[in-house]
Amino acid sequence: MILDVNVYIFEYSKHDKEFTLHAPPSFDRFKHMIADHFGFETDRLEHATSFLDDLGIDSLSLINFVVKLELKYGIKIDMDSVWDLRSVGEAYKIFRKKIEVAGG
Amino acid sequence: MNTAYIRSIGYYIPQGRLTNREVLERLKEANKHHLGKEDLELLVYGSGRKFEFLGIESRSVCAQEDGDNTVTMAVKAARNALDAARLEPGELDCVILCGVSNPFREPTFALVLARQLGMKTGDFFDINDTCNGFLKSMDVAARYMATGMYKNVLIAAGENPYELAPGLGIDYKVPDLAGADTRFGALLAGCGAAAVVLSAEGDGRKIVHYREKRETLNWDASVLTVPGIALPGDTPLPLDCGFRTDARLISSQVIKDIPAFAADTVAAWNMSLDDFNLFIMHQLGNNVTFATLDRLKLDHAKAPVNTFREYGNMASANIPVNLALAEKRGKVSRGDSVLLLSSACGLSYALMHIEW
Repeated sequence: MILDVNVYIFEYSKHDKEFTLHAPPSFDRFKHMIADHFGFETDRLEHATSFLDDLGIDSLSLINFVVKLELKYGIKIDMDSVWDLRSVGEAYKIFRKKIEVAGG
Repeated sequence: MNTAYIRSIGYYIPQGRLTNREVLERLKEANKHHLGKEDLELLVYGSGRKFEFLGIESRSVCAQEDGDNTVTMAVKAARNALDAARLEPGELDCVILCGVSNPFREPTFALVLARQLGMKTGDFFDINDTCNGFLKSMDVAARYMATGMYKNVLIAAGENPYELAPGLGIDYKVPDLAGADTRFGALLAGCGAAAVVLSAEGDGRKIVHYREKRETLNWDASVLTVPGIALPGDTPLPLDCGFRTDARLISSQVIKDIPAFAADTVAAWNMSLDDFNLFIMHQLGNNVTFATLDRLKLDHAKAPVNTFREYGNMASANIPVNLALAEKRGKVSRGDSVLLLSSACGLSYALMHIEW
């Protein structure tokens, strides 16, 4: 089980040249972000849902999503770890950890 | 499969290198006027991150000062192979040329190459089987040998997409952010040439098995044609550009399809994947190669030659260049079983077993 804790990071907007306070998203919010980006219903997304086998999302498509998250949250995901983003739950775990470290 | 032997391998990689940084600069410059600031940032930053993910750092390109082009590279690779085989061009029965970026519709590139080698007559023809062209050409040549028709065949693969790109309207400009992914594959292209001499008689490096699989469902996953050509279906090419590829679909299908195809094929050969000492794969990205090996439950060390990082995607020349480097670097020994794995748009897959 992944607990929601209050870790916040600042997002820097290059356009507005301002920092904005960001909390890491809950798993439910994370599912909505995936659903919005790829055009799925959230009820298809569970912790164990495989990007490739269940959703047909390949690694390059996943990187488009990762890049959006990186720019939004001002973080950088290790590209080697993208191969570990096999399931929605694993992706959330890596993403959340990255935000916590950045907010750390 | 009838017996044919790889008598020699030659290759040529041009000296020029196009780095990720240079590609990103060109991408930014080409799109700065019609993309919004945010989209341009996403395009450039996202492309750079994809390069990192795929493990590419540069692409081999023809340096102007060397005078290299598609033809000269093929000639150099062919001469290297002939020298290694200790054969004169006149001793060849046939020249087969393959290449996704083959610049010739008339005459055949093979005939041009034969002329450059000093041959006056013979059988010279091209095979267009996209990135699978090299293995398909090997199979065709081996079949000629099986009939007793030919004893020595030169097969050359030459790729220089940068020479072809301007005429096809391919540059760094993308229509919009959504359409950028359909052009991304072009940012990975590299140049190179390779050639093998295949002989009906030999000592080692024997072609033992060959098998291929073709499907039509994703026929338009990658299209390279003259701009304006009418295509079937409801996804026409833009009139100003003859290239569109769905690199995402291709890479995911390759990773999904190759393991089952490979397992079924080696089982049909009464072998197991563990029987093979060396794997040479068509290079779509280091991570695609390693993900495929993971799915095959094979150690990455069994694919020790990976040129994608420095040379990029050399299409039909990938496999023979990597095979030549494996030999040069001592990664293959006499008696080893070598498995060549080819994947290509279509989609099509091919496996060739060579007993070294």
